Amino acid sequence: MSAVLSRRRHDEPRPAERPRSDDPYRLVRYLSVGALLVFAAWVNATNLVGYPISFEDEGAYVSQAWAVAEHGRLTHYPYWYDHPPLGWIVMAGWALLTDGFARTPTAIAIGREVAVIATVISAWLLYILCRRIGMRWGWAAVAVALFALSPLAVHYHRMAFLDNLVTPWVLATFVLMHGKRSLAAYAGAGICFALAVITKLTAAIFLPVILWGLWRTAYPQNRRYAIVLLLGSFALVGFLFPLMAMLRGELLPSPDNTSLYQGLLLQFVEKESSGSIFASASAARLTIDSWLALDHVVVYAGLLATLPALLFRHLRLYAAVIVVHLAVMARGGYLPVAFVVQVLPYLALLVAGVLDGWWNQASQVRHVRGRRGLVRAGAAATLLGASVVLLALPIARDWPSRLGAMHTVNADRGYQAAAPWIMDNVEPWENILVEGQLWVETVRAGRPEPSTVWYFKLGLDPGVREEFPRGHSEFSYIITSAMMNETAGSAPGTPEALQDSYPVERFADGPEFVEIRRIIDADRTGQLAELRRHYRYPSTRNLFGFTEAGPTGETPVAELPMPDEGGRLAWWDGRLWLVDTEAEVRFPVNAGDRSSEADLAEEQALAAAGAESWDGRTDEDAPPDPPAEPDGSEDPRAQLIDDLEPGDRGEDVRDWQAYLRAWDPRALPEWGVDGVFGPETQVWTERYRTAEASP
Amino acid sequence: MSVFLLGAFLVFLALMLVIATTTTAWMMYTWNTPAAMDGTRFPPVRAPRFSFSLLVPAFEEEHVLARTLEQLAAQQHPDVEILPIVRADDPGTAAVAYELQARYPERIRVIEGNYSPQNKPAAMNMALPECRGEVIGIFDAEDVVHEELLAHVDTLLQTSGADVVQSGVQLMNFWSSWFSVRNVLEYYFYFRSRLHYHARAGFIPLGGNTVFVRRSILERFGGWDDRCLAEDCDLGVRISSAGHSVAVAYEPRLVTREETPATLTGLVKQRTRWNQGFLQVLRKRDWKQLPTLRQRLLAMYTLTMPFLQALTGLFIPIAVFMIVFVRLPVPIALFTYLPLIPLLLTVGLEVGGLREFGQEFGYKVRGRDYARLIVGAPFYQLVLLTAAVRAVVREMRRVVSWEKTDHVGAHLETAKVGGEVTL
Repeated sequence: MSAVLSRRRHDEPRPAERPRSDDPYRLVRYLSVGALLVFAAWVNATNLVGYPISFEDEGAYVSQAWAVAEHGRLTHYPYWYDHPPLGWIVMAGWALLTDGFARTPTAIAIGREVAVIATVISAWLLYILCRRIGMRWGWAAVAVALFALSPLAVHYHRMAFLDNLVTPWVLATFVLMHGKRSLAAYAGAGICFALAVITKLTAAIFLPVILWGLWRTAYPQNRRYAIVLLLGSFALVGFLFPLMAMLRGELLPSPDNTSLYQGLLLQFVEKESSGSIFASASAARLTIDSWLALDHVVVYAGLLATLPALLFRHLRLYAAVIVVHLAVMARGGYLPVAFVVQVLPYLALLVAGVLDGWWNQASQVRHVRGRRGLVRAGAAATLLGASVVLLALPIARDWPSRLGAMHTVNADRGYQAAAPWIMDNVEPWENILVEGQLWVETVRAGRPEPSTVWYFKLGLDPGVREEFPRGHSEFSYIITSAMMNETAGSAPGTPEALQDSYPVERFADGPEFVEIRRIIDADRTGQLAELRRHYRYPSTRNLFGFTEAGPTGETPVAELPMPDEGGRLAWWDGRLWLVDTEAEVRFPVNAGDRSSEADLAEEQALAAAGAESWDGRTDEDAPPDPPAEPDGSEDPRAQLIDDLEPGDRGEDVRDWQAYLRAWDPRALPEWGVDGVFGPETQVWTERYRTAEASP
Repeated sequence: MSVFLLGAFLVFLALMLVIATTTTAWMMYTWNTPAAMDGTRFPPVRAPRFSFSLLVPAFEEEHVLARTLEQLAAQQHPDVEILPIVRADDPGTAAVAYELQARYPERIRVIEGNYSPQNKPAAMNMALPECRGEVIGIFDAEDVVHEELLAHVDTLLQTSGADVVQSGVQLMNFWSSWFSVRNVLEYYFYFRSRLHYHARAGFIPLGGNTVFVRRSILERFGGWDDRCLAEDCDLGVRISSAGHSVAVAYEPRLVTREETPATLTGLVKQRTRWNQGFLQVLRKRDWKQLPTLRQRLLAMYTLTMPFLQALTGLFIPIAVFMIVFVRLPVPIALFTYLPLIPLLLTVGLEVGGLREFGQEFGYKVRGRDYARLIVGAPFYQLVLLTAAVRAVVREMRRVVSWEKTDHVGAHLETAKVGGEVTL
């Protein structure tokens, strides 16, 4: 009775039970699969710095890994339980082991290395899984190839996403549930699955499939213990995450703390839905379209394979993975771009698994008797042949060129150029607003963390709000990109910072651009004075790249009353420019984020309305010019500079510092007027000299 | 917290994690795979080839002895002699034994004598020269023995080529008290699973009964050590050290059935005796003769296990206290939690085990029993801890008296545990 039951209920792994020494192809198999894995590693690791453009979330995770590795803290800003921390702790471990933060060309590359390593491990585990559920090794290798070489996979598998670190844990869970099926294996499966979930909570979607797999695979003789061990170790290891929250006193919400409860609420209940996947213009649909654009072969073939896979008993569990994920997608809710990463191994497994199944049926033609068997074998052979052709054609057509492009382009050149620019041109004490990628990149290069602010935190983090009570106007620069422009709406303070700034440098073109924008310090000195002061610095002016004489072909829009010299707004090259008549320099006003015609028209109208108003502000709003703007020799303190040198102390130094302060209120931000001619005073004295020496 | 203290604490945690994990792994050894499970059963019965002498030491056990001897006499195996060992100063028990000898003259032969010291190993040593069977088996006077047992043991001796066979012993009355349910499961996991691991690893502390040893080996060893409180464990260690192989089998149908101690005091006393016996065996250093380092480590670990296990029981409240009340750094607090994972898993596995036990032996397990099993866990650990501390204290005191005279102490202790002080 029990033998019959076990035959019916359990997937007896066919090849794994064959005695190993009898297998003459073992060496060939090992070498082939080894070569495939090496090739997959090469395809996935090549140009991981250049493609794809570094993504905001990658920046966040690597920044958090930085906080773990450098400061022994979970995050660089107060941790708010958006994700469990295991993923970036692993990244930090890799960075510490390999001296990663000092070694890699970009900071993001550390996270990407971990992702690629995880992917190669996943590919290997996928092969083992395919073998353990009874697939031929050739078809198992096909599954690995589909999983590791699809352009869709290569695109996402190198990104420093938590999803990539989840995949090996979940695959290991399944691998352990097949094979020897010992109690130790089930305990291990529970631990692996818990680690998957405390890497990213969305892995919990697999729970129903794993429970079904547990019931299906466990031997009836010890199933009760298998259930206790898998579920028990899963729950007890998974409890580490809430326990950590408890120990930090952050389990339940309180007025002055983040909490696990609120984090879960925000991530899973209140997260804005991406709309229906069936609606034509929803965010979810756009996400899906972006997957299909990278590679539709694996996605469509995998989905199609799900149906015949339900007919093969050994594939049913993995067809259920797809079904469960489809159900979650169809339910609506937030659909992250990396969602597809979670199902890719199973799509690949099902495609290869169904082909393997048809191969089996077709190859039984030698043993069948009677017409029915013959027809069946023939049908299987036909399906197999047609599917292979239908798969191979688009793969041969699209994959090489797409992968080739991924290996050559440098989509991240904007960020790669922006970071050194910031290091060269922005003083450490000048506050800047940046995306996560640039945060970790510039901080790793030596920028102080307090003055380098992740733009998301400007309006959302109470600590940052306290530090910068005047919001964005306390910042000197905001470094923007297409991604930031897109998400600015959900980051309070960022749209204002973008609006009250003008571009000074732009790296890369098209959707990959990164733009340095100078924030106009409107509150303190008034816009025009701010603008003037800037292009009076020769160094800054050179950076603008606008030192050539006034362009021809510009259309003057308005003359501006500038304190000393004349200025005007002008149209040129399809943009609105501010032109300093005396210095013959121009720079664009609000280019980049004000491209719609309505905006332009509004700006034109404002400019035309009069010299006293542009960009929505009037001169009355602006505070008066600084009191001691030195434009002559009225102030005797200006002469002090000739007598002072670094190291001096006393009243003269104090007077000189006060004079510097009057010249530029931002001067001497750290030490102020302290009567000591230190490095800071020296820097600002040099600035003053350069500015005054220029015509 | 100073660095040194912190380091010591971390080492302690790692030790706890190792102990808890190995305990859980050995507890589940048999169930790991169905193949492993099949390996723990008796093979199908073959024609008998050995002759058996069964020793049944009995002291003040006239109420139970008759039933036990009857069952032994009813063994299907053809070549069995049963030797109840009684004392002349215990006429009640002796009378029962002689009565049974009269009923089964061809199988039962009473051995009577005032052996000294008055303990089980001395009784068996007295009977050993009288034995005629090739294989000596040991049973306690209160045991319930299955009539096919010896036939299976004979087969196992043949198929395994082992010199020693240990068959399962099982306490049955899980329904009696809050501690009996845990006591029963202890036996279940020990005889059904853990002993098999020990047999495979080449170091095994034998049980006190339902153990079968070739007579030639016992004669070479000079019988049992009558100064040791755990003569069974000691014999196992000496057998392992001499390189003899031990076969272990557990078949629910065939196990020897026993009862838990009736009172908590009885349980503590029994456990104290075993623990102290383990300590004595550890100090005798016979285990140092074991051939491989792995075996020697396992021996050391096993013989200290009662104490380590008591420590793990103590660890749960310590860990909870440290986590909840002491402001440890979060990573260290999380590390403190890790050893709790296998310890808590054990409770889940015991629930599964109790359910299986009920099914295997045909008893209905009620919700009350499961509740006792779970709720009783910390209290039972407290009992084990008490027994462990008592054993250590007694052994330490005995060290002092041992230096004065060689024999009196051992005799004293054994006599006390036997329930009667003779001085």
